[in-house]
Amino acid sequence: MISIKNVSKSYVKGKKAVDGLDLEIKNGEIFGFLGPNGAGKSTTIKMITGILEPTEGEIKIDDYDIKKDPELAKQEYGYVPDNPEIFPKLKGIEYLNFLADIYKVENREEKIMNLVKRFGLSEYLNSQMDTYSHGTKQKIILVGALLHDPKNWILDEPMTGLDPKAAHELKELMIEHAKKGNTVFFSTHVLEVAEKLCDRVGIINNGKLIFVGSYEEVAKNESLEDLFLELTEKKEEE
Amino acid sequence: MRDFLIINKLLFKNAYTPKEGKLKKTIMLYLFIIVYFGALLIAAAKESLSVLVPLHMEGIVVKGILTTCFVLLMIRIIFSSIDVLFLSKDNEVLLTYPIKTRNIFACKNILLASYSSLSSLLFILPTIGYLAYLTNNWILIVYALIVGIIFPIIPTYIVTSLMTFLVLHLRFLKNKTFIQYVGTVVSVIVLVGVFGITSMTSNEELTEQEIIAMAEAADSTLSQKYLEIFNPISDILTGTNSVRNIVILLGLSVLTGVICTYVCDRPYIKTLGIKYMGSKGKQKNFQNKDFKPKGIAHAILSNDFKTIIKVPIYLMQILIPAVLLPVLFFSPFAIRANALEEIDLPSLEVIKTFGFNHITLTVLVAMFGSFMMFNVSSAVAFTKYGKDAVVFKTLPISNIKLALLMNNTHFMLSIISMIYVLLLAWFLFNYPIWVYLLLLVIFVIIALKDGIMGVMLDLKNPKLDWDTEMQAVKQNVNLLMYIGLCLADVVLTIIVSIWAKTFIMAAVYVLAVEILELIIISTILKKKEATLFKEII
Repeated sequence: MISIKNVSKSYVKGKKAVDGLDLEIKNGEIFGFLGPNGAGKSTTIKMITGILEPTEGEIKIDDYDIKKDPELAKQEYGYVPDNPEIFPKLKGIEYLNFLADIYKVENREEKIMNLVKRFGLSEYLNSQMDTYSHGTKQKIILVGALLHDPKNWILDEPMTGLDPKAAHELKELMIEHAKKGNTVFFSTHVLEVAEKLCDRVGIINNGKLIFVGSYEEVAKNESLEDLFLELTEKKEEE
Repeated sequence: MRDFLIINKLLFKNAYTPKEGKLKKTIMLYLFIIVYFGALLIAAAKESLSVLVPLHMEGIVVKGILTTCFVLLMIRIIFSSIDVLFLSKDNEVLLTYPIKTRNIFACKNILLASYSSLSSLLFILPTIGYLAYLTNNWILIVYALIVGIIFPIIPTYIVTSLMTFLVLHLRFLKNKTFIQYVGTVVSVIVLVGVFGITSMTSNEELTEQEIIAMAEAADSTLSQKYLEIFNPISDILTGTNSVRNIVILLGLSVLTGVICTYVCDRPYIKTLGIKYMGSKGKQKNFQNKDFKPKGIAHAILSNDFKTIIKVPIYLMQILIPAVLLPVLFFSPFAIRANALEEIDLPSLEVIKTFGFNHITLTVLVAMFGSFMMFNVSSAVAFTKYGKDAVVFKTLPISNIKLALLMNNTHFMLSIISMIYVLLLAWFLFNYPIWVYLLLLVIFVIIALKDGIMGVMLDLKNPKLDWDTEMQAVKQNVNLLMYIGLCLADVVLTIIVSIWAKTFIMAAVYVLAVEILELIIISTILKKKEATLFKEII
């Protein structure tokens, strides 16, 4: 479970990048976080993962406060950043072993090989990550994030660069994970993916959460795309 | 010509525009570098200038400054050229523009030459400025400015042309890291050979005639000839036609640029593919041993070493100085197998009588402290990862533990220096075991304190936004700050231990000071932990 209470973040005095965000992503839920560029999506995700400290408010991951108990909170999530260019000089296997060491993963051989096979990465494991294509990098980061079986998945634009097969595989994994009573929180620009996959979506614009609701609530009147455009454009006009 | 100007404008703006809101910091950084290096250079040249100026022989110093500058520039260009010419991310964009490809090579060389010009100005201006003050000949500064800007152009084009042809023929290696390593080593060897900028050393004693012959040979090397012909600063001192030589130097620089650009046009384009060559390992059937678990500290240390070793510029700037400098210091002992016999026994006996003198302790500790100045790994602990550094903040490790773990590489490299100094103490003084233990404790505390200090400097002002690793370690103010603080600590150690009367007292004083410094630094880290990690985003 991810709980965000009255969270704000200001980079510059007097200007809030995220403004009074209140959100709770329950166990067993896939939550899609939407918003135009520069709306505050990445800032929110960075605050949830402890990369950025909120100016005010409280963030808890499975009851662990990310500010007060950062180590315990971080153990509870798996994170995929928006940019998969990570540790380019390491080989895939070295990167996965590094994460397995940090998270003290047991039965690592079995876990690594299972995930690697599932994402079709076997032939890349012995190569340096700077030789990978964008999609392959994305897949290896995904495998790394899932390695320690975290209950909460926090994925920043996880579908970017994935081929259709890998994207399908990831969607299946997300559904599977949520069905087991775990949480998936992901940001995306692809509204169709959010529409098909999410139990609930949240739309953020200019740092404020302007809509939270289930697919049923969205579908009552219009499509997610119409709702998104209507809400974000209305805000822009204001 | 229009293309040429547009690309130059683009490259220069991209390279020299400070990041938004960082203008003040950038100016402060450059002022600091100018004052710091200026003071060091003037201090180094002061004595020789004050002796030579009354004899009107200051030309020797000018020649020395330019020769040293020339050697440093050559090495710098070799390293920078690989990043700027072959691996830079902007190549992908520039190649899509409807412009002549040779303009890319020419403009990138001009950018490289501008880096070299700035470095050479930094090197030449303070000492020539001091010379102008001593001789009351202020026009020297104008000449230093002109020479500083123009004279790196020819070496830049020659080095980058050589690198282009080397990289072209090294493409068969199919691995950009190998190409970087091999290209760099071969270029250094070729340039050292061609320009003859080093003198040979021999184990044999040299006769006076041999020394004179070597000096004459060195004077006729290409680098010396180049600097003799195109040295308007010396010209003005000797009353030669310096303006004419400036014009010739400028003309030849342009001509070299044009020739190199035309010769390298096609080969350069062919080399650009190396950016996409990586260490593509063969498919492997992984076995149990490939999944052997490690502790967190071991995992971070191993990740750190792999990153340093696999990036040539990190290897050259971080690992080699820390490991090799102490080796070079002790090489006279190591190279000469008969070193023991060469030190005549009475003098060895005399040295041994100083074993328990407080000065001896000062020298041993100061020696170790000086070696620490070249172990800069902690000062780029996070910076060397660039934007990846943010990943460390998502790991389930507390900030303080992470800061300490990122100091492990520094500490491991310090062990080499510890061993060297302890071996020297053993060789010269043959102390009882407790002395080595005492020295070891002092060294461990210094290494820990310097390491944590380096990590804190890096956290306070990390340089994470870079395109190539070169930018992470070059013009990094943290490295200078770290070296400056280590130097200050060495001075403090010397003052404190000289103040003592005996070996034991000196050891106690030094130990007390180092422990106090370690406590202060650790307390700051603990108290400012959250603020320090704020910049890693």
